[in-house]
Amino acid sequence: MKTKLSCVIIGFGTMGKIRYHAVQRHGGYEVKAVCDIRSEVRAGIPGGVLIYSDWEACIEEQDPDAVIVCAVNKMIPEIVCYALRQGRAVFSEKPPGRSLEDAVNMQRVYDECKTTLKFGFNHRYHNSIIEAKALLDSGLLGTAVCVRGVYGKAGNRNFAEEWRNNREISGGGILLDQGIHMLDLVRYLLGCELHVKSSMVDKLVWKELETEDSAIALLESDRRQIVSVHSSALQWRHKFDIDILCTQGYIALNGLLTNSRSYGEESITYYKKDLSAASGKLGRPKEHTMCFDEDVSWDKEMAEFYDAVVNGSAILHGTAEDAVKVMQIVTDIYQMAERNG
Amino acid sequence: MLTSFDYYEQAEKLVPLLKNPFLFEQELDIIKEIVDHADVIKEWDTGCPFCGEKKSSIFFKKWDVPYYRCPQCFSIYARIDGGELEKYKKNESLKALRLDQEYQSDTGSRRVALWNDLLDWYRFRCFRYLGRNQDLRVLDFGTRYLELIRLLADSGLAGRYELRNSILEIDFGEKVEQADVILCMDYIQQESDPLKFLQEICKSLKEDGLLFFSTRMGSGIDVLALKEKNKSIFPYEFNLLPTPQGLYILLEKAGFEILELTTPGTLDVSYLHEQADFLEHENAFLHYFLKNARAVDLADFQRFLQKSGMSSYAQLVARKVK
Repeated sequence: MKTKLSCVIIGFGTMGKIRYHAVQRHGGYEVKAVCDIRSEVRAGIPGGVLIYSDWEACIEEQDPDAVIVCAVNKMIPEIVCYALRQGRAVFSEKPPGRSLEDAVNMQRVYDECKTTLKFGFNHRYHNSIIEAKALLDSGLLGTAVCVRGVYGKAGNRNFAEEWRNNREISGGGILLDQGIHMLDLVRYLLGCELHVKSSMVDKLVWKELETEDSAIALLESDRRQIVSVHSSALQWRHKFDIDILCTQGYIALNGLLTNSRSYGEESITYYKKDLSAASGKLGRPKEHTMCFDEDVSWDKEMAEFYDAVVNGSAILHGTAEDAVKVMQIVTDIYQMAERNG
Repeated sequence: MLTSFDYYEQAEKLVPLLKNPFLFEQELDIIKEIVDHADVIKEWDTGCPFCGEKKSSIFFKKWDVPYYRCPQCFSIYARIDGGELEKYKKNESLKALRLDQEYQSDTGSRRVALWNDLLDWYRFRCFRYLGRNQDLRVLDFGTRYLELIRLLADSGLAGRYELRNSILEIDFGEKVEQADVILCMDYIQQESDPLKFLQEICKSLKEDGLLFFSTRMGSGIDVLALKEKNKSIFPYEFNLLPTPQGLYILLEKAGFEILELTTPGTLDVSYLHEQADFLEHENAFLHYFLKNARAVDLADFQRFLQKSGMSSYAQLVARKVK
């Protein structure tokens, strides 16, 4: 019998629903209430939980052990800091606010309150990423020296009207919404800090947006590994690719299992360096591929949060420090692009 | 669930031709002779060795030994007396041939690339599930190739290593109790009571320890399509041909949780291609495909089999359940 962790969910859009179902599957959470400011969304909240339109009242009255924040970027810092100060454990969606200042502020409050804070950098829990991390750290392919990451989506008919592209609410465009995952992953996979060397951020097609539809950055790690990241809202066929070039081999991550399955099958392929073509053709060595047909990333993520709050285990992914570090990179990319005109 | 496959365009390149094919013909002749002289089992009431289902029907006969197919888990198994099987394992002529230096050397040079891949797989998966891949306590069942053991020793994977139930009969002077890893590669197929065997070895594995396991599969296309014409399947050497369903049931009963079951085999299409004429009346589509497909289509077909779990060679990693 698991110890029940009472919680409330603030924000019941796509992410709120995903988190709701993940905590239900876990079995250790007790969702006491769900809050959303939109009446049409509140009408669709499942039975058995109390419904709020005021997040502050929701936390105050329900007195939960944990607060799961799935609100828009603008609201995240305020809700997170309030909940932390109330002594609640907090799980918050990414990005950690709209700016580096927001992330630093949340980290400061977290440091003061000594409770639990975790951000939803969910991609770290995808099978291909878990395998890539193990493969890199096993040393089988030598040392990583270069990483190329591409993460792109197509937008939709109402893309320009989405809150994600309203700078006041979101703080940034595709880079902050999706590219942040790629930056977090590269930082995680390489296990060191990244420094922006060059960047371009622009509106290439979605001219009516307030925010960017494209961001390209060149970065260098503490260990002088070279990284390029391309975040795009012009990828008319969704794409998630990471290439990791190592001294003794090469790893290719292709696709990402999502609810829509639009990023294709998730796989990791690796090759060992074989300059004598002993295992295949020159330049086309033996391929080792793993594919995955189930996405348990949400479950693993909420299980880690549960274990941290209930059993006192450490937060491994999406720490306050991770949040600040990755927001620093995002900020540097925006600033460098602006300086470069 | 993980689906894993290995792919390369020129499978034959990894498996060089035998220097002395006569040695392996001789091996097959010895096995055939043992089978011809073995007592035929009269009663069979133990049911499917994997799921325990009592009902079964003969799927094919090879060298007069019936292979049954379970209607429940679809695993295939030969009906062989346990005592006769033990005699087979101890047969001096077979043992002498397999221990012969030329046999060991020829096998070693043929398989060294595959074994290096196997060791990479051990290292990768140990790191993945145990967080380390050096200096482990390794208990190995049945490995019968000196070169493979040498490669294993060089890999640094095993800090302590014990070899059991092998014709090599090498005592490394190290007893491994509560192993981190148990290797059971191409071994289970010769066990008359696989459940009992797995329950026993489970006791030698520490909690959360890993079992690496490989076997030919009864769900593989060449096994199902070629039946007794399959040159790579014969009684006493390949008696148990499970399906994934059968393996899940068996390992769960023995106290293991399967972490991954993959079919990275690469030779199914080659086996089918070699025996394509047999398929003319058995399966017209396969026959036509094998006779007319381009090399690239055959390679893609092999890739499809690997990826969809339909290759007849499986590797799995299981963990001892707490």
